[in-house]
Amino acid sequence: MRRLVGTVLRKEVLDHLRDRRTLGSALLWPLLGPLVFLVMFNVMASWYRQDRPLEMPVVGREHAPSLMAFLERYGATLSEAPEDYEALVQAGKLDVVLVVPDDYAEDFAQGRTAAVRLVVDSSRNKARHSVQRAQRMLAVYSQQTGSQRLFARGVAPELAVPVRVDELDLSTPEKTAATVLTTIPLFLVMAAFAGGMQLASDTMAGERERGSLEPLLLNPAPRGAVVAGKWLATCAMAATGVMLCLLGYFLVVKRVPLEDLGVRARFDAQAALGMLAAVMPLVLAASAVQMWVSTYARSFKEAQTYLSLLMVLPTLPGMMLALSPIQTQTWMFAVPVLGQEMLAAEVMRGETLGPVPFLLALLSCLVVAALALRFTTRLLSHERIIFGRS
Amino acid sequence: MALKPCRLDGVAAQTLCGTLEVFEDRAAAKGRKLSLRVVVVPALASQPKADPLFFLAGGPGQAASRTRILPALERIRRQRDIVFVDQRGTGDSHPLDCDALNPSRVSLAERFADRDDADVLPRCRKGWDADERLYTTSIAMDDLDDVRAALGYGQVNLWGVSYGTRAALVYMRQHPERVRTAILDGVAPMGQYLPLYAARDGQRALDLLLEACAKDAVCATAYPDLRARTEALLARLEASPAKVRLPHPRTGVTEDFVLTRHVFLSELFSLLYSPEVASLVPLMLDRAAKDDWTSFVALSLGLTDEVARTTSRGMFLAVVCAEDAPFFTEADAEREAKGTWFGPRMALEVKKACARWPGSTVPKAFREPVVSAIPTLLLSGELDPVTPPAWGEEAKRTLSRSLHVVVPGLGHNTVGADCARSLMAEVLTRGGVEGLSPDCGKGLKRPPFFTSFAGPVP
Repeated sequence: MRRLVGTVLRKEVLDHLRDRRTLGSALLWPLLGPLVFLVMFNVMASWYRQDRPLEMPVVGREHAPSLMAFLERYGATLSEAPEDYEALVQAGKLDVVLVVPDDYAEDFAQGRTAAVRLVVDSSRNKARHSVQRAQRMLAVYSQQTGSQRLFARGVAPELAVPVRVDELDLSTPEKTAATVLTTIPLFLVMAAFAGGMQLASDTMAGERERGSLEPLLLNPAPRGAVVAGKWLATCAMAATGVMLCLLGYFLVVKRVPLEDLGVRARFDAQAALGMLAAVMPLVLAASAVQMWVSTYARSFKEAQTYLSLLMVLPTLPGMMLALSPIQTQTWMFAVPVLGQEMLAAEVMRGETLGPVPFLLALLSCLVVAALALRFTTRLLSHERIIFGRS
Repeated sequence: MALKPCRLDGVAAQTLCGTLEVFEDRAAAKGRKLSLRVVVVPALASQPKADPLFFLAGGPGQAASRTRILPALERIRRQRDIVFVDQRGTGDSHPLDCDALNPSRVSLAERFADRDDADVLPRCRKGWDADERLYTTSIAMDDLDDVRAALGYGQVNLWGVSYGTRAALVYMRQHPERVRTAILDGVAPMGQYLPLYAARDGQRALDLLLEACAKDAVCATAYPDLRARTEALLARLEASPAKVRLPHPRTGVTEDFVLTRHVFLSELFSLLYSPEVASLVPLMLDRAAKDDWTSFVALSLGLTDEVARTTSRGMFLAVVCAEDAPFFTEADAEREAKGTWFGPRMALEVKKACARWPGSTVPKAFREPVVSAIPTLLLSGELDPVTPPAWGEEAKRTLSRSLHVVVPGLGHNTVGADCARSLMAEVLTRGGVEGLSPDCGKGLKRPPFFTSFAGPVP
């Protein structure tokens, strides 16, 4: 039996290693995540890099010379705002414009609260950092001048600040990073599906379409052995995909200036091993389900359609989590796909989890794999499956 | 050294804390041990640079871990660990604190009392379980090198502020191979004796302020003849201290106290450190000349709380009595303070207090200029009343690979200016000062003076 499984496995792997198309899509897919990551975060980091001065066009500079002096002192580069500044902000040509109204000077001199206006487009992520800096500078000026006014009158400014709120942020830079890096677990899980997809659809639906499934099953080999061999071949491809994906991230993370985003990614060898341990069991389940689905499909094309739909599955937990943030609970690790994504994320956050979640995730995947393999084997004893349905 | 996660007051970032035991008497290597507080803020980068930035606080006596300067180092922290070590005698490293020396007092009468440190010193010394002779800069910098080794850093970058620049220079001399670059902000070279030149340097800052007000049309109109009226005020206080009656700036309860010329001047001196605070000085002088002390009292109280929180006054004396006071005479103090409003009293007071201090020794040639080829960025604030740009120039003479940048419109310490922070980050990135822009904040001016209770011109 073991020899038979081995023979099928060897044959399938060899066959598909010769097939450029299968190989190409199986290997390219897992590398997509790291590539997207490399480009996206390099671009984002370039937006957030603080080293450039804050460029701020101003309308009505002449009304507030002291405020202008303050802003320049704290590193803002001021300029005259163009006429159509609102349109330019909307178009993303300008990050932020400061408008000093005509009555600023009078209000200020009278000791009233004087108003200025920041013109921003809050839907533009790229401008967010500049806007925050502008807001912070203006807040410091307001607070500082307010304190000085009180000092001048012989009043301690602390009186106007009865309570100070100090935030105790318990998140570590790694944890903050995990929210930025949620794409990594997602793409890892997708790699587990993508790696074996071609092979699964080809070995079952494809073989039937070519008419080679029938002679194969005529051999004096148990159907279970044939299925197991094909499954293991699929697993091998999927596992390769996951490892490629992880390796890709491993290389890419070091080339992204995450520190400019104020976060730190924990992506050492230990974390990589942890993620591998988290995602690998899914390979068994995903490959088995893919085989089952493609056995059931009427044609190679149909199998591919189903399997592509199956690929959407990994994105669902992420969307669910984004829409309604739920607290992690132990049973969730036992849900395939969701469990893997959560495990990988936790490993990346630098949490120490203990063996239980990993075992739960492994067990549930084994159960799913066993069931799917059983269904597949049973399907193969139906004549209409082997000869194709119509 | 074992580092454990900890929280620093006012710092949201995650930090690691540890302690390092050193012998109080390093030479004898036995007896009492001191545990030094060490705080490490880890770099954000996944592969941080191997050489961290060590911060050396001012004072002497300020605790590095209690200064809230981390936000200014955001750019540097991305690539490098930032390390704060409370120098022995400060903060949580066996502090030489003493309430009697602490100027933060409950009542205004106590707060503004004209008193000498020398009178309360014996009481303070009794409370310290310490050999005060061993709290000098040279010894502390050997401590610091132990911390460096215990944390596993081969080389470090130094950032000294105020007295911390002296500490940095001493470290550069004692452990030159351990320093990659140094940043000295508010430079106190070995030729500067605390507080011998304070009267002269403070007068310069005050003169700059009065000139700026006289030249500014709005300020000159609001406060005409400010210099002459201030001189008259000082003469009045000299003749008889002012009897002040006003509500306490915080409690609102009316209090009475007596204000002498000396106390008024030493508070005025403190108001010159930061130009933001100094922008209120013309208004304050104008009021005081009219016998209205409200803004003077509020401003003075506003400054002392922060100083009291971070500084150990006993540690100030431990350093100054070993390293400064023995090197100048009363006659020197009289000579250096000649023609200034502040006068020699600050220096004489220190001489007096140190006369009762146990005699400590500093290494031979301690007061020689530090000669070094370590890349060094020197920063000075144009309006600084204690370490004006001239001191930066003096230190530069014996530092062969250095750049001195004077930031206009700034006072003691320049880290508040964005361009100074950029320069600091640049020096660390390049590992040298070659090619750095020697201008910083060109066109910066001191913040406008308060010319009414509403503020400056809008």
